[in-house]
Amino acid sequence: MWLHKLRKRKGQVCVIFLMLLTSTLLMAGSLGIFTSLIKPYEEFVEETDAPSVRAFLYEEGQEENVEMFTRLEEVARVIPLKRYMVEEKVTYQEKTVNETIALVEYQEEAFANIRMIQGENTRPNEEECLMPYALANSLGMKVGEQLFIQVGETRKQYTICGFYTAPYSCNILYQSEILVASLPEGVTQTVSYSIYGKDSYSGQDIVDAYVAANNGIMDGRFDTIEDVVSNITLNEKILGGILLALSVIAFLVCVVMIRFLIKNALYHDRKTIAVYKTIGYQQRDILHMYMKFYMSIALVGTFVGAVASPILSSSFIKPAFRNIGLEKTSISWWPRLIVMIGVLILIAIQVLLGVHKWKKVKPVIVLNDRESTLGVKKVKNPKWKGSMDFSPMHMARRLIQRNKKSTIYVIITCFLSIYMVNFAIVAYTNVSSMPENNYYWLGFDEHDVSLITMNHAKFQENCETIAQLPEVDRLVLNKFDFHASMKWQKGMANPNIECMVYDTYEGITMPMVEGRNPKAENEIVVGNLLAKELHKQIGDYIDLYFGTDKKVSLLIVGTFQSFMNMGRCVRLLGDTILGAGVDFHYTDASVYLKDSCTPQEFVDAYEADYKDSIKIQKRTDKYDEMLDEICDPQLAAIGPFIAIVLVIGCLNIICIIYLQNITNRRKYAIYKSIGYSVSHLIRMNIWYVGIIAVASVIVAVPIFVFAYPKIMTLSMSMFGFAKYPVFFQPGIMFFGNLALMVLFLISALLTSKSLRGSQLKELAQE
Amino acid sequence: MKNTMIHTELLCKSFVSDGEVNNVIKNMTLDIKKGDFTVIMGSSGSGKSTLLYLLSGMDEVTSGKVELEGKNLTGLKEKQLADIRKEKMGFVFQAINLVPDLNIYENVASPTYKNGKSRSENANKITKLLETMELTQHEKKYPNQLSGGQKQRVAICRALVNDPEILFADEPTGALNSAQGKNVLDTFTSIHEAGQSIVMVTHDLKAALRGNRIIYLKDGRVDGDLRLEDYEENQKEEREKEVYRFLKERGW
Repeated sequence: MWLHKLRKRKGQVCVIFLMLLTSTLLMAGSLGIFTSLIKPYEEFVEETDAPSVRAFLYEEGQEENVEMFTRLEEVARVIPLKRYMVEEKVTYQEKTVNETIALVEYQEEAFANIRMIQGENTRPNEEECLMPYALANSLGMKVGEQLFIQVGETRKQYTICGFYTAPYSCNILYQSEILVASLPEGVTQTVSYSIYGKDSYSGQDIVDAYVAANNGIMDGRFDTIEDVVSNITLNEKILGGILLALSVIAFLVCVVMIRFLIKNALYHDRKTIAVYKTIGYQQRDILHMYMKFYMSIALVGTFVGAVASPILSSSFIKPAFRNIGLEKTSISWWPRLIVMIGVLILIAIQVLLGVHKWKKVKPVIVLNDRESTLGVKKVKNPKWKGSMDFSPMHMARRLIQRNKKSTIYVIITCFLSIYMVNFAIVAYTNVSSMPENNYYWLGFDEHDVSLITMNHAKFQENCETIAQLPEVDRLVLNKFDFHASMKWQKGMANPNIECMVYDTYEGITMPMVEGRNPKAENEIVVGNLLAKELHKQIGDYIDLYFGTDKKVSLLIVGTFQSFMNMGRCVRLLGDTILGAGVDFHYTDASVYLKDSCTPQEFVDAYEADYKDSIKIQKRTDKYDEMLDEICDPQLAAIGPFIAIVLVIGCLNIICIIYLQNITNRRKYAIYKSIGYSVSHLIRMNIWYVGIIAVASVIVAVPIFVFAYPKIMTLSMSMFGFAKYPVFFQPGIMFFGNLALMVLFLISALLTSKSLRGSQLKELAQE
Repeated sequence: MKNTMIHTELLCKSFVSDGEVNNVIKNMTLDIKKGDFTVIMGSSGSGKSTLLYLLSGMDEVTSGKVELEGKNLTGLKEKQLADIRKEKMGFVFQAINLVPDLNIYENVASPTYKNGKSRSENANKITKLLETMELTQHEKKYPNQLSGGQKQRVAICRALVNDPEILFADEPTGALNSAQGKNVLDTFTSIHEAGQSIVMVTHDLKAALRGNRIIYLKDGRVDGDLRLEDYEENQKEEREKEVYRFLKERGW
C-alpha cells in the first residue's frame, strides 16, 4: 500500500525528500563543524610539543622570572625566548605588511618539533627567516623570497627559508612570529616565556598558580594553549553556530510544511481511510500504512543528507586547518547519527499526530461528505443579523474573525517576519556606519587623520613638522596600546587592561558615559565594564600597576564605553605614566584639519612624503581590521538572515493559505456555485493576508523602534556599553516593509491559484 | 407557447478513468421551457446529476452545446459563468451546502454582492424570503443550529434571493425525513406556481409528481419525456396514474 503511495505521490515524495535532505545536510554539517575542529588541534599541540602557557611579562629580570615559574609545582620547564616586537615598517615585494609581527630568536629546544610545511631546515641561518605559514598564506609568499624590516635607520633583509606552523603562530589576527637565527642589533628586545606544564595541569592552572604566588598581581600577558586553540577556531565556531541556528530554523519550517503536507494528504485520503475502516482496518493499521510511507521517505532523505554533510563541514573547516598544514579533514560520524535520529523522531511525531486526528472521524460522515461535528464548538450567535457585504475585503475580514486558528498563525508569521526584517535593516544600516563612527565605538577622539609610527626615532620630530603644515589645525599625541594591570582578585576575569594615553584631552571631543576626561596626572577615566566589575564610580580611586612595582593610585573622573580590549580599557594622560617613572613613547597622533582640507586630500598629499616613517590614514580607516572583524560577520550574516526570514515567512504564508484553501475547499465551491468567481476568492485571500500584514506592520514597527535600542544596549553590555545610538532610516524601513508585504501578497496570490482546483460538481452527491 | 429557457444540442459528457472512456451523457438534445417544473429521473448512473451540472454550467461539456435563453454557455470564461450563475440561476443541493461560518441571514445574503440592486432592496427581499420560509426567528443562527429541513429552506432562500430565471435542484429532499421533504416540496410547488422555472433531479416519486414534465434518462440518453401540463387541478389521480405508467414502462 505504502509503495503504491510512493508511486502515486511523486511530487509530495520529492518535496519531503528534498526538504529533509537539505535540513539534515545543514544540521549535520554544522554540527560536524563543531565536533571535528578540536581533535586535529589536540594532535597538533601534542605533535609540536607546544608550551602550556606563553607569558609576556613586564618585568625584565629574565633569570628571576624563570626561577619564579620553575618554583611552581605545576611547571615542568621554562624556556625564555628573545623577541623583538616590530613596530617599524615591514615590506614584502615592495608592499607594506600591516600584520602585527614579532621576530623571535630560534632556540632548538623550543622549536625542534614545529610542523614544517615547506623548506628543508627547521633552523634558520643568519639573514634567513622561517615564516609562519598563516602569514605566508595570507601574503602569498614563496620560499627564497625576501622580507625587509626597518630597524631604525637600517633596512634589514631576510631570505625566507621555509614555512612553519605551531599552535601559537597559526593565526594572523594575533602576533605572527617570524623565527630568525638572531635578533637584529639595536632593537628593543623583550623576552617571552614558553612554560611547559606537568601532565595533569592546564595552562590556566599555571596562570592561577603564578598569580597566587606573585601576590595576586598578573604583571604581564599570559596566553594559555586552551585559549589559543579556542581562539583559532572561533570563526569556524561562530559560522558553525550561525549555520546551525539557521538550519534548525529551516528544519522547523520544513517540519511545519511536512505537517501541512501530511494533513493535506490525509484530507485527500479521507474516503480511502473511511473505506479501510469500514472493512475492518484498525487505527493502528492505518497509522502503520502512513508511517511506512512517510518514514521511508524520511529515512532515505535524512540518510542522503547525513552522508553528504561532511562535504559541507569540510568546506567550512578546511580554511581553519589550512594554516596548520592539514589537507584532509576527518568528520565525526556521531553528529550525523544524532541529527538523523532527531529528524526521524520529529517526522514520526508529525505522522502520528496527523493520523491521530482522524481517529474519531466516523466513516459514515466522511463517505457521505457530511461535515464532522468533531471539534465544533458551540457557537455564540451574534446580536446583529449579519453583514450583507461580500466584497473580497469584507469576506477577508469575516475570515479573520471566524477562522481564528489560521489567522493567529498568519499574525504570528507576519509579526515575526516584520520584526526580524526591520531588525536586519536597522542592524545593517547601523553596522555599516560603524567605520564612519569608529571613534564612538572604540572610544577615542573624533579627529580627521591618524598618524601611526613606523619609525620610532623620527616620530616625534615628524609629528612636529606635520603640526606646522598649513592644512593642520591641531595635532594631539597619543598611544592606544599601553598595557597596565590591576591587582588580581578572585573572580576577576582578566586583570590586564589597555590604556588609551593622550598627551592632553583639552579641547577634544570624546564620547563619555559619565563625567569628564583626565586633566591632571592623578586622574583616570575607566571603561564602563571595568567600573561595574570593580564596583567603582566617579570619585573613587583605582590602583594600576605599570609592571610589578610601579603602582599608581588614580582618581576616577569619568567612565566611557569601548570595544577596545573587549571593554577592559582606561584613558590616561601621558604624564601619569611618565610620572610613575616608566619609559614611555607616543606611537600615534590625532590630526585635526582646517575646514579647507578633507582627510582624503591630506592623506593623498602627504602619504608618500612620510611612507617610510609614518602611516598616514583617515580616522575612519583606523582600526579598520578590528571593526571589520566586528562588522563583517554581522554584515555577511544579515543578507542570508533576511533571505531566510523572507523564505520562512513566505513559506509559512503559502502553507497556511494552501491548507486553508484545502480545508475550505467545499465552502469555496459553494461560493462559486452562487456566482463568485475564482478571482473574487483569490482577492479575498490577498485581502486576508494584506489586512493582517498591514496591521502587523502598524503594531510591530513601533514595538521594534521602542525595543531595538534596549535589546542592543543589553546585548552590548558585555562590553560595558551603556548607550547604543540607533540610526533609524524611515525611507529604507518603509521600503523594506513594503517589499515584505508585497512578498506576502505574492505568496498568497501564488497559493490561491489552488482555488481553481475546487470543482463545483464536488458539491453533488450521487 | 412557452419560450425555451434551456436548449441543448448533441450534448456529450465523458469521463476518463484509468484510460477507459465512460460516456455519461450521449448526444442529448432537449429543450426546457420557461415556467416549467422539469423533473429529471433515472436509475443510478444514468447521468441525471451530470446533466443538471452541465445545464447549469457548473461542469464543462465534452462536446455539443448548452444554451441559456439563447446564450451558449460552452466556452464561456469562468468569470462570465460565475456572473450567469449569480444573475440567472439558483441552485439547491442534496447536501444543502450552506456556508458553515455564515449565519442564516448572511447565507441568504451571500449571492447579493453586486447583483445590481440597492442594499435596501436586497434587505427587503431577504427579509421577505425568510418570512415566507418561516425562518425569521432563525436568521442569527448558524447552519449547524438548524434541522435538515430548515437548512434546506435556507438554501432555497439563497437560491431565490436574486430572482433567478431558473432554479436547479439536485435531490433536494434526499437528505431529509419525509415531513421535512414534504415541506421543501411544498415550497417548490408554491414558487413554481408563482412562475419560477425549476429543473429538479430526483429519484423520489413524490417529488416527481410535483413537476409538470418528467424526463427519464437511461444510459446517458433521454429514454422518455412525459408532459403533464395538460392535466387540470381536479385530474390529480389520472396524472399520478400516468406518471406511474410512464415510470413502470421504464423499469422503475
